[in-house]
Amino acid sequence: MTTPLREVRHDQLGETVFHGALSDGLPLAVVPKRGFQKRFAVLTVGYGSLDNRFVPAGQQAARDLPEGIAHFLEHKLFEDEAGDVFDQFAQVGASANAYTSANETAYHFTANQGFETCLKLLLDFVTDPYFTEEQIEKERKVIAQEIRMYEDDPDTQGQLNLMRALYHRHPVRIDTAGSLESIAQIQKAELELCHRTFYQPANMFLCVSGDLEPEVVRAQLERDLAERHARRGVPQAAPILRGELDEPEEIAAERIEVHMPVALPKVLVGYKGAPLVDGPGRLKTTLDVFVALELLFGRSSPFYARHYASNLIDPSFSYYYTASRGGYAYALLGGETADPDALVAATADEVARVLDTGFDPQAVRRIRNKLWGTYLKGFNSVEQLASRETDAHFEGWSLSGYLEQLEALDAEAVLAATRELFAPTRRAISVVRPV
Amino acid sequence: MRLHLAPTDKFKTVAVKLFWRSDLSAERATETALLPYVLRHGTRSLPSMQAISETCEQLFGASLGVDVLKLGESQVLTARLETIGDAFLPEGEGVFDRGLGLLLDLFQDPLQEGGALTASATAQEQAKLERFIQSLINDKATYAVETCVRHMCADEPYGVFEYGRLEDLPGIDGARLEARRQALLAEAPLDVYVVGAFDPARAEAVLRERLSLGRARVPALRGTTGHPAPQPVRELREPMAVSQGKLCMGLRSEIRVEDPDYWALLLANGILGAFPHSKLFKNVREKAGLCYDASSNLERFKGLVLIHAGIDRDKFEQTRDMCLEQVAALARGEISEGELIATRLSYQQGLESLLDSPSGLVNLDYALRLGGREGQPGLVISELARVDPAAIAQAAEQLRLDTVYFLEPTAEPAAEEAA
Repeated sequence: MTTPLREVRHDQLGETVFHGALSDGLPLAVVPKRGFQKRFAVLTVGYGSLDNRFVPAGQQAARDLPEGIAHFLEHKLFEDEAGDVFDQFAQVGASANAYTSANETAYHFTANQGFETCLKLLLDFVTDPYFTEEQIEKERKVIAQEIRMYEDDPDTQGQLNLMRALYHRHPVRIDTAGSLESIAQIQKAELELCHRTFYQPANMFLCVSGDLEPEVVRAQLERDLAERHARRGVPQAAPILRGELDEPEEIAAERIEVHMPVALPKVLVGYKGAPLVDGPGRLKTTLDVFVALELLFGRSSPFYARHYASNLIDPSFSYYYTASRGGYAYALLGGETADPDALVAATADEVARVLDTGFDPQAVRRIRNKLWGTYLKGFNSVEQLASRETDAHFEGWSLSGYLEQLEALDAEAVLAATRELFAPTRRAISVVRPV
Repeated sequence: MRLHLAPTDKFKTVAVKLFWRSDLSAERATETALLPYVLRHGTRSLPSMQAISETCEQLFGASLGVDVLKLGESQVLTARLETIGDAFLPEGEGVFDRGLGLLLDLFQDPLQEGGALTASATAQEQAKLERFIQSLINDKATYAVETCVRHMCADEPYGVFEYGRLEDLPGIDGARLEARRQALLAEAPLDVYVVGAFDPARAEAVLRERLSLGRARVPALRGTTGHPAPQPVRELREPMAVSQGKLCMGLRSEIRVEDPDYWALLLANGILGAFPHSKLFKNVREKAGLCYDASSNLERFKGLVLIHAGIDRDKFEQTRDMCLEQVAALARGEISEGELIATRLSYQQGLESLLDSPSGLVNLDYALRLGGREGQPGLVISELARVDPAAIAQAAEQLRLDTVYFLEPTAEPAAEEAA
């Protein structure tokens, strides 16, 4: 049984989004963008580098898989029986790519022409794995070079070390690509097991955006699905049982320092937050912390003005907060500086000062204006639209919910979120110093 | 001044971009690079970066940026503004006029003291630019390409880094920057673009009134120079404590954007290394597993092709030879039907996609006009459709290897120590 897509209009923005699911349970959204050249599709699997401990279907005990296996699987799916999948997209001029993050593996393409061919190809190559021993060995070499490339990237290493300092056991502390040692252990049977376990329709989300007719897209997807089922049978659904996480509230180490060939030290300060549950509460807290970070450390903050002028910070100074559905939350901030310890002290002083004085409601409204404008700008880009719908799907919020939360921003709640997150006892530091 | 206005209701925003062009030279590069960042420090009405940032936030997140570009042997100072289109704002709100005023004030009414740009802003940005130049080494791939180009074009303006030289920084003060500002405003060829949701008649009136002020006759610029006499291939190695080596090879071509054969050279570079279906990616990565990234870039004004790959130390000779073999195969006309179709269509897709991006459209138009061509994606697509494989092979045949650079791992892994 299939049901038509549900239309959600955002009148103020002049935009409409269509939501629904295919008959095999694959949830999807279509965001029409009339007059756009690009047609974009992204198929996201709720499976990332965090998910390397789970109970295989039909078994009792949890099993540990080698670090980096989700990323290895992503690379390997770009080979099917017809050969290189990139080539098949390229034959219609489309470009395809993929990425693996902590929680997700996403496969996407942009096609101005041949969208239908590409959409079928996307669903086929992602859901229908084809692995040969020879190709696995070749890919192992390519991924080893990718790992080596990131070994030389001071920002990646600084961030990984911060995760190792903040977390004792949580897999957020491992590198998405794994290590040279861990990828050496990855075998064909394990890739197949992970694919079977996580690449199930209900654990995925498809979003397409561009000059498209939603019901035409859905009808094609249903036809392709019937054809795929006829070709290789209907896959059995099985519950996904992830391993339990057992992460203490405390940080693992106060500080990690390494030396690399860089010009100036780079420092990152991280605050380990309590994991948040799914739903609108996660979005609310995330927005509160975003606003707090902007007011504490943003381009218009007294902190930025003072320390930019004194040269303690430079334009590389940035900050970030994530409250992941993978059971972790942290804020980080930092950049290049001649004096890491002075920068760490200055950030702590600023947090303490603001906790004392509170936030100015006028300033909160100013940041709300900025977030509103940034949100609206996202409608210029089919990629950003699709990525936002995908986040909303996996994190359990909606685009209109986002605007409502923005309207409801309030200085007291922002201050409370700041007090909750920026606890000195849950702070860790990562420094990369010149050799 | 050339004014390009493209009103459309396709975008939620309106983007303004200004380009002031000057000849790239070692003597002037540093002060020209420093200037826009000092100007970013304030105007008479908003006399600090903090005041400007607050205003941008208030204006629904208007983004305001400055930069310098190297296009061939031109150094181009750019500034851009992007605001939400007034039509999409809550009733009674409008941000475009104020945003545009701020953008123009940065250049025309900057914060000054005693007829010069301020000593404080100058000193702050000197320190930032010094760090920026020093930190080029942090990104090993970019560092390898820049170093290769610096050696390859050591005696040509193209070898000058667009952000300048460390040794020039101490000699620059607010008075010199003010003189540079006035010279650029009066003499540098200026292109102004506005794309998106705006009222063209009003924008044109404001821009013409403010930007035509005090414009002298624009003197002719040198532009991009030719290649020096051919010499034996240079091979350079630089040891560093890194995990992965970076190979960069520079090739020269006599074909440039203004030449009739340019489209053939563009397709040659596409088949060689611009896409995942290209020869470099297919052979060096997919078949041989030597690297994660292998690609080539075409510099359209100077006629340079730069090949890049990240590899293990002991794979240097093998990768170098394999990359050069891909160039040789192209020159022999070994171009499959699939490669040709995929490359044409991939460029077509990329060009059409620019129509979805205000800044993408502007950048293509500016670059092609600089090369004396029309900037519309549709025209480029039809030019590419006319090129046959023999012309592509001929363009590739003219590529001459000039410099091979290898950032070579010393095989000393970075040590980790818990403090």
